Amino acid sequence: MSPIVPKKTYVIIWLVLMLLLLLTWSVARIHLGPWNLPVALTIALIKMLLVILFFMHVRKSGGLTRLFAAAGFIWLIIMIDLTMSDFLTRRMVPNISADVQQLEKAPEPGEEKTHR
Amino acid sequence: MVLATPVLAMTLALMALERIWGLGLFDPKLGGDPVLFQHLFWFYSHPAVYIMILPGMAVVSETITCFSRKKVFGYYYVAYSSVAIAILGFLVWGHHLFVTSQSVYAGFAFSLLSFLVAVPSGVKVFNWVMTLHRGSISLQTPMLYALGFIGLFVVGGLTGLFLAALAVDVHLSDTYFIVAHFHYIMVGGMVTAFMGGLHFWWPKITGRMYPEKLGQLAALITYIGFNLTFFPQFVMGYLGMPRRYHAYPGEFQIYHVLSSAGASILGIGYLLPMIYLIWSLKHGKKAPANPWNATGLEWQTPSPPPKDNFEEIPVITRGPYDYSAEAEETKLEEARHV
Amino acid sequence: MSEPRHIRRRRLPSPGGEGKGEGGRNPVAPLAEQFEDMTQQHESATLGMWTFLATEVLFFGGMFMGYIVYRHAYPRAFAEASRHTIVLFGTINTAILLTSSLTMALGVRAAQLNLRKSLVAWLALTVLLGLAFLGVKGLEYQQDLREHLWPGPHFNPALGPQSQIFWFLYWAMTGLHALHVTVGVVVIGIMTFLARAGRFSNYYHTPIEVTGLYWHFVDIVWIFLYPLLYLVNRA
Repeated sequence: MSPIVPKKTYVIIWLVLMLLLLLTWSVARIHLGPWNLPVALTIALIKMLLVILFFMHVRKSGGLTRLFAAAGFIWLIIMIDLTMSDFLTRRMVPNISADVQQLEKAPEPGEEKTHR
Repeated sequence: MVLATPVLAMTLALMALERIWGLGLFDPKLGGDPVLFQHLFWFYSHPAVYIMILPGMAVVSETITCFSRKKVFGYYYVAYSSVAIAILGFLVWGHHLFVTSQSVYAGFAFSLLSFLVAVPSGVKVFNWVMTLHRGSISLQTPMLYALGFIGLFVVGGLTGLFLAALAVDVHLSDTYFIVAHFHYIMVGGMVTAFMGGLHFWWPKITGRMYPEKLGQLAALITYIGFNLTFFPQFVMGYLGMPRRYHAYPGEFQIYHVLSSAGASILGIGYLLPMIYLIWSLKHGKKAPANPWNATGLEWQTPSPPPKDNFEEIPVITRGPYDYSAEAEETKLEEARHV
Repeated sequence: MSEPRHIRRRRLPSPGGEGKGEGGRNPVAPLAEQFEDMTQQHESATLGMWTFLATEVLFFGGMFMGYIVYRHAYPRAFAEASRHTIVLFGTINTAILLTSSLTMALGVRAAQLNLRKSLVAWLALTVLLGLAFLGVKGLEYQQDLREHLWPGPHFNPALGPQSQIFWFLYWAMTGLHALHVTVGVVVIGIMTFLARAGRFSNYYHTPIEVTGLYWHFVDIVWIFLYPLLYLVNRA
């Protein structure tokens, strides 16, 4: 069954987690603009990995357990990725109607409604 | 199933919260986006339909091999195709959102992935056909259903490719074309496979044989009725008949009439098995352990199986689908199929 | 957690030996009929729990998806709305849960070493920390309601309409999470009593391990909720 991890290891991981908590809170108070979010999420990711690998024993588990553990997260990433591929690329379509309007100076009533 | 259903659960819960307490997550008035609902909904619902078809494909594999007396062509390819369909099936849900305000670029991605997911299904169909090739084919009822599956599933799958193409989908979305497409897959595919499986394992489950001639007749009636019902729907969808409309111009009338007529025939085709299968429970011939001379493990035990399935743990000496000549000889010496 | 009715109770050799557990009760090894040995049974239970956790990831994931989409659409509204969360409570709660993960892991370790008294102590401590989390959350919810941060017609007028989306997600996500914490506390509480009664040993403590997995998962969800809800705009 799961190998026995020394107490010291657990306590060290806990200390690292607490330090990371302190870090994430401190960094949040510094204004990094758009970087605040990736930094916070990276720290959260590291915390999560520490919990999974050490507290949940995945580090020492067999391949099948690791696969099952990874599957949920992989699927979540699939969902987020492909859905965001929609929301992130919406504004990228050239605004054809606006160009046509510019040319004709008299917009058709129908054209206004076909795009967001 | 494990991975997709929770998303549906969450989505429905959020929807319920929205309706009950007026908290808007998908409500445009509050800045919400109904397309987000569609993303979350279809993230589950598309894999769900692959979940629905995969067991049917397995039934077809079992049946085709048994009634061609041949092992399945390319066993590993068939097996891995199932895995590929399962995984790829999770990546295509956006094809239900082509005509929403979903970004075109996402549409490109989903369209490409939708074309890709057809490939493993195609692999399986080719493999089944190759299994039939030079096989010793007998046209018992389960086999008729399995053959029906192959034909109808191919039609449904190919029309799915029509729909995976972005430009064509704009024209065909929300028309009867879509209705016909998914009915070919679900009814022509899954339900047909189900009926095939039902007849194949009926002797094993109930210990009784169903009347073979009636079975074959019902399969034929179903096939005719099904095509008469749903093929006109392809045509009228293509010609522009929308879904979910009760009133329509006169030019579509003939298709609707044909479709309804087909539906009645299809109804008879499904009613017949209901009657004779129940009849067979009392009056059918008692079934031997292996009426089809199949090679599966389930056929090595009496029909119906005893409580612990086997009196003693069976010893496996052959691979699956081992319909080779020596195996046949051995089996011919044992019980003959009815 | 509850043994199947048809198990064969077998005494298999265990490293701890029989009767060596504290309290003197003889731990019987409940190997269920369909498994070859305890290792396989244990692995099967672990895989089962991970499967369940995968469903939970996607269940919470639906809401995280909503959060991502709307934060992307309304960054300013989210920033403004998030300022009204109480970062002190959020941070304390994060610390509480991380510590409770430690105590849970130490509990599992105690079970692996057949240390019954330590096991009970660690489990009880985990329960206390879980209750503390819920207590802090309760105080926080009270404060949030006082500030009219419940979406609907009576929403805090100082905030724009898109803030309601943030706050809806806040209540839904933390509420669902708190529900999971509550279930966890109850289950660990039950485990504590069972442990006191000597049901676990170094040979059989699968329910403890599997409960631990669940509890760590609850912690992980909070690890992500914390920055997304509390730290959006604290600069």
